[in-house]
Amino acid sequence: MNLLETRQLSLSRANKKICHNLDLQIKAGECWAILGQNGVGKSTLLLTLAGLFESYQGDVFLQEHVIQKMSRREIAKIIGVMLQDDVWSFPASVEEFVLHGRHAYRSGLGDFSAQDKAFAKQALCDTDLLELVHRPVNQLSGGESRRLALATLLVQAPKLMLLDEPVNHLDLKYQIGLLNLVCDIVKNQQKSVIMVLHDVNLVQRFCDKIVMLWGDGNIEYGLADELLVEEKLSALYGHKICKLEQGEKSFFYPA
Amino acid sequence: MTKLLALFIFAIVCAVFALSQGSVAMSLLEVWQALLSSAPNSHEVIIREIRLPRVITAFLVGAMLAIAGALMQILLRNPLADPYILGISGGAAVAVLSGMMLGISGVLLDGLALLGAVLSSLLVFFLGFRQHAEYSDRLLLTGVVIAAGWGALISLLLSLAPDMSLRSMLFWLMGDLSHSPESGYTFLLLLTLFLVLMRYANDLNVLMRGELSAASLGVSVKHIRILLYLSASILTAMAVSLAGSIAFVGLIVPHLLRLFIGTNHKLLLPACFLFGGSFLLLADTLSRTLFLPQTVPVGAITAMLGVPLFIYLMHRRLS
Repeated sequence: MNLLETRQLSLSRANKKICHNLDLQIKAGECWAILGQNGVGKSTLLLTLAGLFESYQGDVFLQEHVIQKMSRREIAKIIGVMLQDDVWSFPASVEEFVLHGRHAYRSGLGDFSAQDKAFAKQALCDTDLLELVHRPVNQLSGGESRRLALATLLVQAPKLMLLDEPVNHLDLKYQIGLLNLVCDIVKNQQKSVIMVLHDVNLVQRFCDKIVMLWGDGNIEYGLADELLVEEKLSALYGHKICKLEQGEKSFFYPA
Repeated sequence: MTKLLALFIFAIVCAVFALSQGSVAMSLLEVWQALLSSAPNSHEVIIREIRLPRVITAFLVGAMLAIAGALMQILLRNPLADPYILGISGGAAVAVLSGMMLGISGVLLDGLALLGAVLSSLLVFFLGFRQHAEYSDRLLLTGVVIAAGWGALISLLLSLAPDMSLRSMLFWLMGDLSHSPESGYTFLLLLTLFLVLMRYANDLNVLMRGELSAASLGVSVKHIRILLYLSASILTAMAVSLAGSIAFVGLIVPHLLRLFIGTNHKLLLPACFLFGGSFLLLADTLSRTLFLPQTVPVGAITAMLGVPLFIYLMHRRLS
């Protein structure tokens, strides 16, 4: 069964074509990356897959259900999203915010259970945020906010994770830590991730499938090994990109 | 919960204080006797027919403004939003001032205020409200522009108004609790809206993250936004029709309470109810007793209390 599927999806925003008749199938255990230049609509595509952007033609199916007919609560139990930028203006604590990941699982007026709180603690531990538990979220740094967004996503425990530039603002240690954590979850628990990434080397290291947005409505997708080649990447980013082989590993660098 | 209990006791203390103060000062015992006694005497008339209705109206208006402020702040995702930011009070003011110029007075003015407030909020709703979260700035922009438009009309009306009605117009604009109509229905409506909102308190908590994020976590943002807008509009319209536009209560009370109670709306909304009411009640008591025998508009007092308090809070947060 496909976890997520698009059929004949056509999408545009501000009179700019993002994709045309796209048929994409996401299965359990896959790590996808979305690549493309600034402004080609990577984030809009991601939001569409999450059911958060609704002006499109075609269909998006989540576990064989039309996503537009599902309630936000039903979707939130399957899909978790990490947005590109979070601006938090209220002085709620880190602890309160991470528990929001369990919102879809509690009843209307209910409080969070002891189990929810245990999940939250584990997620804060995994993201190195335990010390900041009582810090107001409007006082967090960019990188700390990112890690809190990840912790919320972990607590939500979705089958499909949609991450929009997840490593923005993060130190190197946390970049690799985050991607390791997410990809381990995908492989070990048969979940899936689709993420917008700008660093081709991170894509090569962590992702097995790729979607390339060319900016004219054309989309190419397939195995990372086949798409991550010098000519394609150079054309995609409008800048010459070279490959450097080093033993068994290879790296891309801009010429 | 202990904090809510403390706020409840504070509200009672404020009410008793307000009842005992005025041009005829009374002891607590006299207030108590006047409230309970059946024998008509001068104290009984003052308490039951003059002070008590005013105390109730002040408390209800304060509660409505504080709750509406908290809702607006969530809806616009801006802790500095107040209930009037989208032009609701401006619409009411234009309707009331026009009425005053035409010589209308009394309960009809309340009706005009309500009409103006409702029309203005509907105007903003249809011009500025869009389903998609990406347009959330549009509501704020539309509201602020409409409010500016009302502001211009208010200036125009004031400059055209005959001198004799100018004073009552200015009083209305600054917020005035001097006439207190029957408040049974107001209380019922406030209580109903409050209970409905409490039902969605958890959703409001998640909505603090922003609309897209809340939607991705399972909040049906589309519906909650409409609920928030309508509730805040109704509460503000009622408050404005009872007391004109009273500055700072809707801004400062939720802000203050977030510092002491936290951001959980299951506690914050009841706290706004209790402390918003108490705050306006205190301000109103000051407004009628500070310059005896003169009464000053309560809006001037709330602003005088609110401005230093607000600046203090801002500094405390920054340091």
